[in-house]
Amino acid sequence: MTTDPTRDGTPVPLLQVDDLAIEFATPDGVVRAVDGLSYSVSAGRTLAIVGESGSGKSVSSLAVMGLLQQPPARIVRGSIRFGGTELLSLGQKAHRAVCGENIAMVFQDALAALNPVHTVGWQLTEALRARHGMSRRDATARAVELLDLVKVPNAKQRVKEYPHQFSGGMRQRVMIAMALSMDPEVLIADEPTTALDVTVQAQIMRLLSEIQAERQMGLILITHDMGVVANVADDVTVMYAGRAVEQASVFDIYAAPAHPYTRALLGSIPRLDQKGGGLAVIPGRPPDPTQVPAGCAFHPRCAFAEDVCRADPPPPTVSLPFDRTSACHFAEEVMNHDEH
Amino acid sequence: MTSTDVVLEVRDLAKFYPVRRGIVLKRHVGEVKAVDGVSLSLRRGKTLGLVGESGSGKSTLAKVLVGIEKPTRGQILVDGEDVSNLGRAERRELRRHIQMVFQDPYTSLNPRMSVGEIVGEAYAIHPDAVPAGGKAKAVRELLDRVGLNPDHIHRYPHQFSGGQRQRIGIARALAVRPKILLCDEPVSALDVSIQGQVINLLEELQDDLGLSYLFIAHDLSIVRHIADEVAVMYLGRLVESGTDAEVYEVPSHPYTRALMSAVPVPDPSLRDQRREIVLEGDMPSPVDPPQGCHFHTRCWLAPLMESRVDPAGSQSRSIPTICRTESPKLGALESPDHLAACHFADDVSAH
Amino acid sequence: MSDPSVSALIAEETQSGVPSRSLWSEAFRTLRRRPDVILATIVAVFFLLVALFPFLFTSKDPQRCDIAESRLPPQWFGGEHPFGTNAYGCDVLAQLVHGTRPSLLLAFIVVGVSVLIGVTLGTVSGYYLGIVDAVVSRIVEVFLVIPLLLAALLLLSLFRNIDLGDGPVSTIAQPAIVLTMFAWMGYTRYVRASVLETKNLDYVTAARVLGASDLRIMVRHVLPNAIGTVTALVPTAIAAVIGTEAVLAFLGIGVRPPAVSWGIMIEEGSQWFTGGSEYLLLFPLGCLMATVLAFVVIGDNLRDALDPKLK
Repeated sequence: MTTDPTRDGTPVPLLQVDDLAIEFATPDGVVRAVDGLSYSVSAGRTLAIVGESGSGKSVSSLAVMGLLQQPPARIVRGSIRFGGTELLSLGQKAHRAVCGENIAMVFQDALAALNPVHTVGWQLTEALRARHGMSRRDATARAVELLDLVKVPNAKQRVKEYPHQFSGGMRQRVMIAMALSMDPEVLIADEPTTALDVTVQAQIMRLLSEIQAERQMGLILITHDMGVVANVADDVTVMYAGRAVEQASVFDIYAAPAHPYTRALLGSIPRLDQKGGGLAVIPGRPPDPTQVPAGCAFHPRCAFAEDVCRADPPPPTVSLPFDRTSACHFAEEVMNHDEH
Repeated sequence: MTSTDVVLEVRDLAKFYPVRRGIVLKRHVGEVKAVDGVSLSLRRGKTLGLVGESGSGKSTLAKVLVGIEKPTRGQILVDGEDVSNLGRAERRELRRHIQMVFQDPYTSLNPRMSVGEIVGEAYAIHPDAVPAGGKAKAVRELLDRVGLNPDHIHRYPHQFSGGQRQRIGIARALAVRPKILLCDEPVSALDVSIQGQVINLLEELQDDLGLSYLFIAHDLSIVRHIADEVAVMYLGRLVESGTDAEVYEVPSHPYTRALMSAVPVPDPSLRDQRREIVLEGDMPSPVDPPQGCHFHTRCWLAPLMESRVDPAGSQSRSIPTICRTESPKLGALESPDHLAACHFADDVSAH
Repeated sequence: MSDPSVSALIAEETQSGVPSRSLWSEAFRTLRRRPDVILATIVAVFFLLVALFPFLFTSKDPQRCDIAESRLPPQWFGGEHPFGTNAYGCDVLAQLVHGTRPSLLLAFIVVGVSVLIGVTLGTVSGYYLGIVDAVVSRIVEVFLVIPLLLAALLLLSLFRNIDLGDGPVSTIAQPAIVLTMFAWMGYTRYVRASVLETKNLDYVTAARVLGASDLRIMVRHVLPNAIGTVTALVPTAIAAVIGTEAVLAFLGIGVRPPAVSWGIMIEEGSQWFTGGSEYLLLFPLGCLMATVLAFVVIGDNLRDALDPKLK
């Protein structure tokens, strides 16, 4: 965990996404899944991308990894830079090669991401053997090291086992170990704990932040869980209907959300320290990507909406104090609004 | 608590599954004690939250309660009447008292049936349950009741969002006018912004129809919002139960404490002050549960207790003998309704 | 807690304007717009008409052959034998037309009955498991290891002397029985596997919680969702039956002469393929392929159109 939330002396970002827009061709027409998304991650920092299903949070990270199926997907505009390299101008193969060495990804469903017919050790070292021509013995030793790193007990024995012999939490550790095998500088974790039990979820989140702090990796955590975000993130990007609706440091966003959606999301988290009375409700549901409402996409569900919200899309970034942005006509009002 | 208050009582319920080996001659080599001696009572018009992680036996308990599985031992009393050993016809009747809402809105609706058929199926199975006015009218009323457009009865599940599908599932369960609704993690598969809508619908229905809920969840936070009483399961046994206030304010089992600690607090300014209890490892397999207290292999409290029980103890951080050998009974704490199964229950909240 | 605006929004949010129709009429509407389906339907209907009313398509008797007119090449629509004659001087067009009925009838009966058996046994064994499943699975295995041709030879020679009469059904009764006996196992296995998958889904549990009977659960919930794999197999199975019938005919135990069938024609025609009379093979083979392709296209599209998830 980085304890330094200071905003001065901005470090050089490792990974920088600028004005990214992605479209999908569907039978019902072209769907804009991501629209004008920008963010950056620096070494040792954790960026949380928060959103519900269909918000575009996973699609954008697939684009970063060069894993989008094109077609139906199409990157309309924008740039993805790693170090100084523009990844989008590389072509998919070279793009993936850069990612393979530097950016790794952990998925939600570890069982689906592991091959059931190979031992865990074999899969852990596949990339090492293929790319670096490591010998089998060295590779096995490395696999044991990696499992130790992610605190899988009895690693020497377990590298010889198959994925189905691992519990859900242990499998997710294997996935993290696999992601670490190439010593990545940036790790993208897409809902890494969603399928897990709460106690195991806490273990995995702790492991991720420890490893990140130790190796000074940049970590992108994609999640829908504002509770988890509060515990690990430095910066937060909230996505809704393909757009980043709010971007701020974790402390600012929780203290005074500047977008009505963020505010509503925070209100709808079930909390241990508040009894009953029902949960705060966001009416309606996330928009169908083929029928995004005119004006501000959130206006049908928004408590702050006025005529201008129904007519005009909000400016993509309303700059606010402390380097934060919000895509809302009434960003300042929302930020200064006090419900309690 | 008078007996008429209790709509569902479970006494010492157990469900064991045999473990067999061999292809031709299947030898009986052991048992999975999925549920092992659970007693619960659900009061009329109230909500009992049942919390446990995967493998705790909460889903098996649910299956036994709705009559899909037969209990190995123990009793289930609905309105004081033992329903655990009923014949076929009577079991069918029982089904009208206890209904279920499922976790996954995508697998819980038959994709080839229209909403009208799904909700109306109850009336096809129980023709005597059709209210006056006919089946079609009843289905439309149910859809309206759960906040869906009654004109959508001819649509198919794929035309609805996850939250709407969950409403269809609730309407199906309500068709036979049950007394008890067993909700198996009804919101955990939904988008965060939708969860509140479904929880609030359930509370609304409870107030209007006098339903009693057994609300199953894998974490304590959502239960806090809806439950009047809470029971926590670990490896087939209850480890703690009590009223909402008792369990959340004076958690008296180390596992309950750990579960509470695992719920992230949505406030970044507290992240460094909070003392988290992170349990080591996974839940042991129910085929071969640990001796003594089932939880001792992961317990954070037991090592702290060793020095007190045995001050001259040779190694530090070992588990007290009593935890390794003796299974703790559910015992009453400060109030007769607050029970915890821990040898050191009084010390849990002190640490 | 009840917020009227919330309920209003919820009611509003389902896409409006989608008219509600039944699954079948919806499927029909989708299929009507597909040119490949229309073409396939025309082909299938054509061959069904040929099978039903052969005299509409030829005036010749396929049995009246003149050996002197052996292997006349096709004379197309001007001549007496538009598709030529075969080695015995029989009119090929007449044989094709009159061979349609036994071929299609055999294929439909064999596939229909074996699907029926397979679906029933597969559902029952997958649903109940235990002893039922053990017995069914063993029977399936026994039938799978017996070579079809060997068993067919044995059975058909045993029953060779039983005369079933002359009707269209009786000429194909024996090959139908034998082919059915060895065609049901595949369906049983496929259905059993998908029933195993389907029966633990939540909506099946929900029906059980409502108190639905086993029969209701199987018919309403399990089967409709488990049968997809089978419908995909049917068109190719029809082709296979017609093909196997040709082999049986070659062994002299298939459809009984003097009746003709596509199988017999293919078998006979293949002997002349290199002898300058390739049309003897190509005509019946073309009919077989056209029919099978038509069924494949219709079957695939019907399955997709009836699947509510794919819309």
